[in-house]
Amino acid sequence: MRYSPLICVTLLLGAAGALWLGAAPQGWGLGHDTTLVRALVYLELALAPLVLCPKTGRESAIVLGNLLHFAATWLAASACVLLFSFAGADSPAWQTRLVSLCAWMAAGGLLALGAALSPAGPARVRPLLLALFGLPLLFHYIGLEYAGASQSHLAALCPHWLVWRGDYGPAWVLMVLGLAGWLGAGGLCLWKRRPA
Amino acid sequence: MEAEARLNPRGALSTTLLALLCCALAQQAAAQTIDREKSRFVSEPYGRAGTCAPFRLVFSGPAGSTAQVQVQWGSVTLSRQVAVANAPAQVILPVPLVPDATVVVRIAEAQDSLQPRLPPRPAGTSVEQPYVAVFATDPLYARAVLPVAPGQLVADYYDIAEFFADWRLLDGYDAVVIFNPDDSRLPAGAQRAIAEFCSLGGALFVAGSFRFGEQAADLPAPGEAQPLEFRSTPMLRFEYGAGAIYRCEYEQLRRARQANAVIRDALLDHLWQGATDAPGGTQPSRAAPQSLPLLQPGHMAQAAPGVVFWVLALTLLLACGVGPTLAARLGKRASFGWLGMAALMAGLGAAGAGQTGPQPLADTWAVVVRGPRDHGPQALRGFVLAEESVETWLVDLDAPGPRPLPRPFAQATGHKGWVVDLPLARAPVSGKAATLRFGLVEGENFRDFAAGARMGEAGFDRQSGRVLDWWLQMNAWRGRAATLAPLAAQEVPVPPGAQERPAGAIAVTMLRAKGGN
Repeated sequence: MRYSPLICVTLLLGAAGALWLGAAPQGWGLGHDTTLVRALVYLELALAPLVLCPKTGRESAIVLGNLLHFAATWLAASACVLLFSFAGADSPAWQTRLVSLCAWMAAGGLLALGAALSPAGPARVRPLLLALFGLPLLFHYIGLEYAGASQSHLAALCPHWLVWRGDYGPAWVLMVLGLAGWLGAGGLCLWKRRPA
Repeated sequence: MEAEARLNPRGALSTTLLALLCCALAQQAAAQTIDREKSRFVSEPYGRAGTCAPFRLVFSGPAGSTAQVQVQWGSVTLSRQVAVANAPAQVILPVPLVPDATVVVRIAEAQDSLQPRLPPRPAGTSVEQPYVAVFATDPLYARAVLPVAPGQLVADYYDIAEFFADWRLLDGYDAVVIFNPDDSRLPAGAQRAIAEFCSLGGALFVAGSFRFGEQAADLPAPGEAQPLEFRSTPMLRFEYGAGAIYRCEYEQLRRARQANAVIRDALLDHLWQGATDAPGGTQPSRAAPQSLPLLQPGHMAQAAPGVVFWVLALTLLLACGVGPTLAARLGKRASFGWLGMAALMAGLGAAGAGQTGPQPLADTWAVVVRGPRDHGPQALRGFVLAEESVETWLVDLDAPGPRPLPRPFAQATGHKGWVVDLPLARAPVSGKAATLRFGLVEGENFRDFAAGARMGEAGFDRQSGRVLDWWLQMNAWRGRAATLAPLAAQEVPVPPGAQERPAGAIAVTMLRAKGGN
C-alpha cells in the first residue's frame, strides 16, 4: 500500500518511455504528440481500481489515512500525466483532470468502504470496480451489435468512455459514488463507536 | 454610545442588501447599450442562409468612449472598434444568417449582446433567380426599375452613398447593380470592395458613371472590354477574375423597353457563363458547403522533452520513493507525512502543466478560382483543419491588408474546421491543366478522372486530388466547363496562434460558352 504512488509513477513513466520509443504497433496511431498524453490518461484511469490498497479497519484514523494516501496517489499519477503536457498543443492532460478525480474518488471510496466492512472487503470490491468501469462499454457494444440499441447513457459509469467522447459532464455520477463510499466508511467508524 | 445602541444589525443588513441589489440593477440597466428596436438586418426581408448579410447595429454609450463590437458564431469572431459620440452609434457589420450568431458590444466593463432575428424570406440559390444588391441615388426609383420578381430576381435596395467598403457585407449576393445617373462619386473603399467581390466570382452591373472616391492603385486591372448587346441595349463586359463587370450608358438603359429584363439578362450571362440555357445544379453560394471534401489532417504538432521535464520526472520518482518511507517513520503522525507528500505532488503537477506545448498545426487545402488571364485577379477558397486547442478564429474587420472571411464547419474528430474565402489572392499555376466539358475531363468520365487524381495521377498529388474530387462532384453539372490545374501548396489564412501546413491546392477557371474566354 505504502508505495502505490511510486508504482503508479513508475508504470506511467515506463509506459510513456515505451510508447515514445515506438513500442506500440503503428496501427495505434501514437506519436510524440497529444495522442501520447491521451494514452497515458487512459492508463492512469485504468490504474485507479488496480493500484489502491486500503488499510482495513473501522477506525477513523485508518479511514483518514486511506483518504490521504489515496489523494497522494492520485496527485502523483496526475503529476506524472501533467509532466507530458509539453507533448501536445492541445493537452488533454489538464482537461481530463476532473474525470480522473471522479474515477479515483469512486475507486478509492468504494475500496475504503469495503475495507471498513471486512478485511476481505477490498478483494471483493476490486472485481466489482473493474466490472463497473469496463462492462458498460462492453454492454453498449453488444447492444449495438445484436439489438441495434445504444447504451450510451451508461457512459457516466465508464471514465474511459467519457474521455474518449470528450464529454466530461456525466462524471458527477462517479463523484457521487465515491463520496457515498467515503461517507459510508466514515459512518461505519461512527457506528462502531456507538455504545451497545 | 446611545447612537450605537440604536443601530439595528438586522436593519443594517437589509439596507446593505438593498443597496447591493440596487447597484446590480443599475449595472444591468447600464449594460443595456444595444437599441434592439433599431438594430436589424439591412437586407430584410431577404437574406441568404449561411452567408453574411449587412446588419445595422445601433447602440449608445458614454460620449468619447470606444466600443468593441464582436460578431460571434461557432469558432469564428469578427471584431471591430467603434468610436461613440453623443448620439447613438451606428455601424453596419457582416453578420451570418445562422441561428447561433450573436452580436456583442463591450464598452469598458459593460457588455451587452443580441441574437439577431433572421430575415423571414430566404433568398434561394436557383440559377434562374440571382440575388442582387442594388445601389442607387434614389433607391425608390431603383425599386421601380428593377423590382423583385419571384422566381426571376431577388433584390435589396440601398442608397449609393452607403456603398459598402467591405466585401464581407456583400457576401450573400450573386451580383451588385449600381444606378448612377448623376455621376455621383462612390464612397472611399468601394473600389476595393467591388474588386474583391468580383474576384470571388460576383457580377457587377453599372448603369451610368463609375467614379470612385479613392485611388486604389494596388488592385488588378479588369480585362479587355468586350462589346455585348442584350435586348438591343449595348453594353461592355470586363472580365475580372472569376467575376465580371457589365457597364452600360444610363440613357440607353432608360430607353430600353424592359430595363429590368436587360439587367437580368446581363447578370444571367455571367451566372450561366455566356450560355443561353441554364446550367444544371444550383447557383454556387459562398455559404459553407453541405458536402465537404474528405480531408485527412496530418500528424499533430510534435515536441521533445526539455530539461524541465527531466528534472520534474526525477524529482517525482524520488519523492514517490522516499516520501512514503519518511511518512511511515512519523508513526502516529503519518497522516501529516501523506499530506505533505500530496502537497508536493500537487506542486510538481502544477510545474509540469506549466510547460509550453508546441504551436498547434493547421492543415490547409485551397481551391483558387481565376479568370482566363495569367496575371488577372484570383480568389481563394481554403479548407482549414486545426487542432482543437485553437479556440477561436478572431478576424479584425478594421485590419488593413487581406480580408478573409472564415466560416466554421465540423470535420475530423479532435480537429476544428473552417472554410475561408480570401479575395484577390495570388497563386501561380504549377502544372498542366485538364479541361472539363460535358462531364468529361480529358475525354474521361469526371468520376474516373477524380479517382485517378486521388491516387496521385494526372499531375495531381493525393491531397490535391481530394479537393479536385470534391470540386468535380459539386460542379460537374450539365452546361458547365472549366479548366483544372494542380497548384503548388498555397498559403491559406489560418486562425491566430496556429501554424499553417499547406496540404494541397487546385486552380479552377470557369469557361464561357461563347466569346470571352
